[in-house]
Amino acid sequence: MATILFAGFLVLMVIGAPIAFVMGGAGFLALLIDGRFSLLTVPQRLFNGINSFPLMAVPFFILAADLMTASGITSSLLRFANSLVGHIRGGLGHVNVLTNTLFAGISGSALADAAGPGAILMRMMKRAGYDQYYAAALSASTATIGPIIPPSIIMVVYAITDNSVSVAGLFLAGVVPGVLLGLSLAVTNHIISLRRGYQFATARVSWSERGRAMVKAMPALLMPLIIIGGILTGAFTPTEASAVAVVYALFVGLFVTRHLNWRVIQKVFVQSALVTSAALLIVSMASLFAWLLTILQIPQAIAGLIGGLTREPLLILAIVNIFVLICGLFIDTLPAVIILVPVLVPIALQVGIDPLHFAMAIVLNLTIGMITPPVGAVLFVMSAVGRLRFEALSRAIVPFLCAELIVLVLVVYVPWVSLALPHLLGYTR
Amino acid sequence: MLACLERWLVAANRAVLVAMMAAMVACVFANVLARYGFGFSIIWAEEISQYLMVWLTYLGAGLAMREGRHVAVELAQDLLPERARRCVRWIVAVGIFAFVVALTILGFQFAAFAWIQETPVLNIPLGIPYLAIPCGALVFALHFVLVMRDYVAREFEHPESLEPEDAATIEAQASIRQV
Repeated sequence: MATILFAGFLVLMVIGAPIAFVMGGAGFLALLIDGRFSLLTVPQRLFNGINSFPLMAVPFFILAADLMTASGITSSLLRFANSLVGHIRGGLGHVNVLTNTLFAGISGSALADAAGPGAILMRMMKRAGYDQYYAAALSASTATIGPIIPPSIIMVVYAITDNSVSVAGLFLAGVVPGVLLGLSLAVTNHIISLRRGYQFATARVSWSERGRAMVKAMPALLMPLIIIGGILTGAFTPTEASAVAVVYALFVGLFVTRHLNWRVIQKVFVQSALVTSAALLIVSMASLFAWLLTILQIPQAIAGLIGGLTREPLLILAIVNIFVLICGLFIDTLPAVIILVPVLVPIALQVGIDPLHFAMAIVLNLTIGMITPPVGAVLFVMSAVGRLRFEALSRAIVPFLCAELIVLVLVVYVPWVSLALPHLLGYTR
Repeated sequence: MLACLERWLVAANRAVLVAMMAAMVACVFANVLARYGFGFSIIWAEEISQYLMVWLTYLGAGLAMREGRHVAVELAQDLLPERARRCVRWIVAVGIFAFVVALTILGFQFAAFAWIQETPVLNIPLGIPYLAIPCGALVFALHFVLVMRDYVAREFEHPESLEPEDAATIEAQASIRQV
């Protein structure tokens, strides 16, 4: 059965079947040909894979971010970021980093960031005279901050897959690495801008003007505070916080920016539903696949394999992260979480690695996988949006990729980076 | 005639998704309000919104396919010449169709099998939430038959942008650009 499962997976993947159908199809074929289990387990597993209350944070966070976008919040964040860092050399690049970092507090998905503010900033940078591949690469890499700074869809799915971490804990753990990611990209942008002589700095803006820009951006800046604050004070569960965020976004769009009306709301709801559907279909199908892996005792086999090599936690972290990076080159983030987490977490627990620290490392690792060729979802989006050659974009992303990998090493080897904030607020063991 | 039916299918499907999404938000938010405003919780809210999410996932899959939202790794396909690529895409399309037909049949069997059991809170037949998968797969199959040619040709429907195209956005971009 294992042979059919993996062969089916590889063949379907290579011929270009959609990811959801790669996993569902491979699982179905394995069960069909093996014949030991009733095929009724297929619908049963597909259903159970997404029948979860915590998972509902996924559609709600998608919807809240889409509503905020339709409310015109991107432009006010853009203006706020420009008033703060636009005057520095490589200014628009820094505006790109800061806008996406702020937008990360609204959106939990790198794809949404790439298609939204990422695409806008790419076009702006290109118009201002930056090399278009440089602009696209920067936008792609800043989009990966989205799922690291809370809210985060990947973290919600991770917490469902691994019961030893909570969504709240993971959200907190992501704050410092997310900011570090932003800083590392800003530094990279600065160095490259100096070297290539990118100027395009806007005039320094007065503090009163900055204040005005901040007031305009306030509705967007408040949203992460409501989500995180609500969860931390115990007022809401993460799912409830995401529903509150939706209502808040509706309120902002209807009464503050007044961009929303019935027609726009319908459009946003349909789009969010479709994004949700595509994401959760993958989760659903991947859970069938992951269930088959457990039946076949693959996690135990791999745990034994790695555990047999060494029992040194630092070495295990390195091996696991390199393994995940390689998987991340080829597998999309959500299915990778569902398939790999049950395989890898037992190894980490065995040698006493803190589950939250481990989770943060894996989430960051797989998120970076979204900008690594050959299979990088964010790169695909940027090259489609900017009509750019994928190969050239893959080359342009290298310096930013290196910067993000440095942050990954930091997160992997300095547990403090991910654990300080959760520890401070009592979200570690 | 067929085009008319297709438009009707898409419009109905979209309307159902909007209603389900709205109901999900309403259930969860109402529960928060009830707890803080009135000191009780709506015990069925969680269960019903959860089932709605499964229904939404499967009922949205067909429309998502029309818009090309199901991510695929098409690197190997891109290396092929046009004719061979179309050939491979036909194989993939037929495979997807066969899979969703199988899912429809298995899903209905499973829902029927579970019909005598009841859900924990609402006490409705457990088969009702389970019907999400076969019904969704059936709707997917309908959509897919209608757009299979376009799928093979990679011609997807393009959704509109969500960004409001008003003065503020354009101005914000212009104000940064001019310097």
